[in-house]
Amino acid sequence: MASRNTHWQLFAEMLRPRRRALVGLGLIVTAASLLPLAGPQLLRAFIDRAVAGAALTTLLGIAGAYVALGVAAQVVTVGSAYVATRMAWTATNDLRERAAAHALSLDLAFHGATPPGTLVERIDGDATSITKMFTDVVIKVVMGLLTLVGAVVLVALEDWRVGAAMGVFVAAAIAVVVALRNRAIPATTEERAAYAGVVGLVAEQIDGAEDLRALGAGEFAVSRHEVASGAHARALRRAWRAAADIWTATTGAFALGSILMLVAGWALYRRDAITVGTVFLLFQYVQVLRRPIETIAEQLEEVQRAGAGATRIRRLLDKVPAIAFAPRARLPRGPLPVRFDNVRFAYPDDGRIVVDGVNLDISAGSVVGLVGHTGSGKTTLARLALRLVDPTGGAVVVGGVDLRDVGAADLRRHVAIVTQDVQLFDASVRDNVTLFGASPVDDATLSDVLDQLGLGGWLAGLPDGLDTELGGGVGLSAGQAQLLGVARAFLRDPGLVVLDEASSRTDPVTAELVEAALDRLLTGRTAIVIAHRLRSVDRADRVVVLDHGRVVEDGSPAALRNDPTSRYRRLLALEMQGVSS
Amino acid sequence: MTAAPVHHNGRATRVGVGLVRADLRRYLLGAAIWAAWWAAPALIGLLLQAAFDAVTGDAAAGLTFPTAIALLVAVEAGRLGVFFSAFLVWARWWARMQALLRTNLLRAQLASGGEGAGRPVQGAGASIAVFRDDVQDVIEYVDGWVDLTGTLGFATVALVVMARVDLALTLVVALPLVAVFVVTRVLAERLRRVRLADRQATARVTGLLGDLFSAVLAVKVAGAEDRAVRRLRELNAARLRTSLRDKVLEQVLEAFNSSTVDVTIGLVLLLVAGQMRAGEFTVGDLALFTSYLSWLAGLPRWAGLVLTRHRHAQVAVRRMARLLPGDDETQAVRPRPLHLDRPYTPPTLPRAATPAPPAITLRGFGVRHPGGGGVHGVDLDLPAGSFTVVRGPVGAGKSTLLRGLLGLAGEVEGTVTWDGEPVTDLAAHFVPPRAAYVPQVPRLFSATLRDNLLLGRQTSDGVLAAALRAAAFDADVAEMPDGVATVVGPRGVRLSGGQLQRAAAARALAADAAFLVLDDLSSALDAATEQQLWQRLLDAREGAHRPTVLVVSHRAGALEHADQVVEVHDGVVTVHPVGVPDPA
Repeated sequence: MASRNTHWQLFAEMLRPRRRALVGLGLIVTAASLLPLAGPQLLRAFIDRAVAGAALTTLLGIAGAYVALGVAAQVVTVGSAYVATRMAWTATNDLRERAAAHALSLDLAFHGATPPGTLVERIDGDATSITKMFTDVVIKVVMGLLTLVGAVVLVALEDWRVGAAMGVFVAAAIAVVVALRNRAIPATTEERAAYAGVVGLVAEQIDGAEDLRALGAGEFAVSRHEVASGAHARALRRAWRAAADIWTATTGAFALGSILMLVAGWALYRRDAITVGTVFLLFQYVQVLRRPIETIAEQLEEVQRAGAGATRIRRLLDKVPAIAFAPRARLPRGPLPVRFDNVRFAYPDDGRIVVDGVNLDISAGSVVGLVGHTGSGKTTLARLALRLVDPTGGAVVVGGVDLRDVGAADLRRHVAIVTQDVQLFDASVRDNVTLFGASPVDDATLSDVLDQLGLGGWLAGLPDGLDTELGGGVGLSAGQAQLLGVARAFLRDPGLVVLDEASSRTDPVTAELVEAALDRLLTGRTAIVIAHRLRSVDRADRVVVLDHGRVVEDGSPAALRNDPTSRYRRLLALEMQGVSS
Repeated sequence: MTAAPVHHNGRATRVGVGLVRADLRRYLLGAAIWAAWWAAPALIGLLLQAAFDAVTGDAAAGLTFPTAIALLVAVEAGRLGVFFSAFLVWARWWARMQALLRTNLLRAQLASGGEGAGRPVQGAGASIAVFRDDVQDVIEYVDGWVDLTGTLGFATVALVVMARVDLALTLVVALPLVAVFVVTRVLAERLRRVRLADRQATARVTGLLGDLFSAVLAVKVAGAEDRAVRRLRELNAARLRTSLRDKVLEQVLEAFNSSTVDVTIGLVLLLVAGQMRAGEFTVGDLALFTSYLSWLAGLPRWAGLVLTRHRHAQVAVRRMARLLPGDDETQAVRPRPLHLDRPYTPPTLPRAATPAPPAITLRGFGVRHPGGGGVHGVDLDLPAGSFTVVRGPVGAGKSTLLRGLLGLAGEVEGTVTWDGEPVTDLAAHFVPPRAAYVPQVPRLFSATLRDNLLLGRQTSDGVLAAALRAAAFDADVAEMPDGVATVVGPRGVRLSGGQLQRAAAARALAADAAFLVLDDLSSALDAATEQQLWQRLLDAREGAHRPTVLVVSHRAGALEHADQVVEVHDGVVTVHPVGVPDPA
């Protein structure tokens, strides 16, 4: 029940700023649902007057009005679709933006545990189900209900008993169809699951086709597909059976209603209570009922789906970011000294300790390489310096300021990271380097920086220069992407750079360019290098070896290399072996 | 999606006819019931006419009102029954045809050589769309034939009945239907384009979101969150425009179809006004016309739908053909018994006797790679029961050589003999119990470990246990929740890279083949485990059969036991006899 409240709350929040549009929508929807009800009235007038032998011009006038009304009703319906769609998309686009901004503010632990695909589904998929609900529910359900009520009222005006009976009949029909639909949902869900099972199985088998072919197991795989297909065939039959129940009930009720109305009309006509035109009118009003009754039942499912989507988005919006920024001090300009002050870090979910009392003083402008096995804590240490996580004990002090006292904009401006896996966006070169303008620079400076970093030739060869869209047709080698990553950091002129060097797979020429670019970037700045390969600490002034979250060795690369007992030397020997194999 | 070349036009129809033939009885039964269902409205219209004429007393020698109503009740009840049974017959037909198409496609893709083997497709993602969407498209197309026939049948009856009431009037109201059909086609084509644009706009939004969350570290560290959301806002605004266009056009199309009823009824009113005054056109006739016209208004839509489905089916059939032997789309509808009606347990396949370890020779053997490279001019002898190690740098063509020999790597040249006999169909020949293979990146399926290892073949528990032991996988299995009954694969227990390779080795060993091919078993194993694996594998060779073995390996463990070493370098192969000093 709590979730029901939260999703209605979210819907209300979305619609509140759009109250005026909502009123307009209400008006146009009312017009669109009531206009078709005038048709049978015109038909009656036509029949009764024709039978009574009225003037031909009167009859032609009524016929003309009938055509005009039919067209007008459709025009208004299109108009209401436009208004409803527009409102639904603007409201849910706001929601998408809000949810995306919120998701970006959440910490890396959240992102590590939530695949990008899931977040896309949450932010766009769930929002789209809400969009659909707003448009379809508004257009179909509200219009359907208005039409139903209108028809019942108009029939009651002719004869209140017939009207009352029709009202009861409509309510009962809706109740039955909704009940049947709810009963059908498990069968439909089961069918979808069985079909997903078949498709999943085929996907696995095609993916592993070579194994199956090589092992002569094709027929075995085909028979497993037959087993899954059988399960699906039976589930499909149950689901269709349930759908047939619904359809039969709707059609049966509707046919019964039409016939009963004919009988009622006949009885009233025989007592001279109504004209033959009115018999026709009563019959026509039953024909109007069918579509609304069906669509209302259909749309209830859509509402449920949107409700579930809204609840999930709400849950995302309610997640509190682990890192809160409260600017109390400013970082100085120029190279920044870094001090880890008895820093400890344990994962909040399982309490696993990753950094266990690290004390480290990094002087301004020096380059420190962090070395250690996977899980030794070197990546976490770097993330602490970027304040992507907060220490659970001790403090990280950059430029003499506790990082927790630094504002977000200030921090991001002065502390940068360069990774070797550079994710490119489907956007222009400019947006890719400045990250959609987060680093405000003019085009001349931008071109100059790219030129300095060795991308000048590449840029000159692009069809639209800085406006060239990346990701689509324009490819980038891994090395060029790395250079773009360096440029991203370089543009902000940071005082501290974290360098995350994964194993690189670039050709020698580009590798040299990347090395040169990195040298340029690190000049006059403090740098922490996470070295996955020991060769990459060559540029470090100092190497810190970590093991199980503690500093176990600390010294210049040369000193550690020459110490026959050092762990660093052992690691180096191991790596050399690995390379030659 | 471009239009199909002219000579392809018949392909969808051919497959459609094949599909009808594949289960002719059920299709005809279904079609007959659906025809009855479509015919019912013709009767309903006539009975309504009779009922209204009875009310006004215009029925010259017609039915009385109570009779008309009773018949109406009977027809409606019959129609419901017909619908219900049609649905049940059709559900069986539908599921069976889906399964048939998928089975034939799957068989072609998984066949180990032979006539029934299709060209293996690259990229599982794209071919899944064939199994899921294209199969659906073809069935919907054939399903549409039934509806179109029914609708046309009804239309013919309705037009004849109406013409007998008033020929001129019938012609006039039939004309708008043609106009609606044409306009609907034009609008539908436009809608298709608008929808495509909308889908692209959506892809840009989801693409940006996906990129942002994949690169969340870069975005956060650059403080680019606000800018990123601003970009999202731009893309959202663009999608708002495409969505609006889509929705409005869809509604226009819908409105166009709905207003047909009103416009044609209005036309009838205009034309019959004079006759009705004179009593020549009765209220019953009007009821007949309004009833028929509301049904006929759906005709252009049905016809349009079938045309759209035909176009989809053309694309679908072409894509299916690529997976089938000889690019022959009719292979997709080859009849084949299917066990779908009740839960089915496939029989275990009998075990063929393992032949003696073969002597294999390759002469002028080569594999052409689509993107260049490959291996060429290989002359190699694998004596019966020998152990041959293949080595060489990354990308030299070691795996290509192995896969080519097994018939897994596309086009090959040269000759391969097995105990002196030339092998013509490599893929069909190199399967258990003759050969077994451990790929570099093996795949397991979502099934029990036992099913994964035996792949439907009868095997004693002893053989399975021996294979697990020889592959050094027994300790891992002992730790699994249900032992060999543990469900593994994508939807089961996840195995580590090393476990996966050992499982694949156990799978190959359980096949008890005369020729074993192993591609770089050691890349995901640590030295100790690898040593254990080689030792047990070699111990197992000391038994009754000493299979001929061909392995890719760099490790000393394998080289120690080698009878010969094959060096592959840039697709060129050199063979070193036993005892060659280690180059390292």
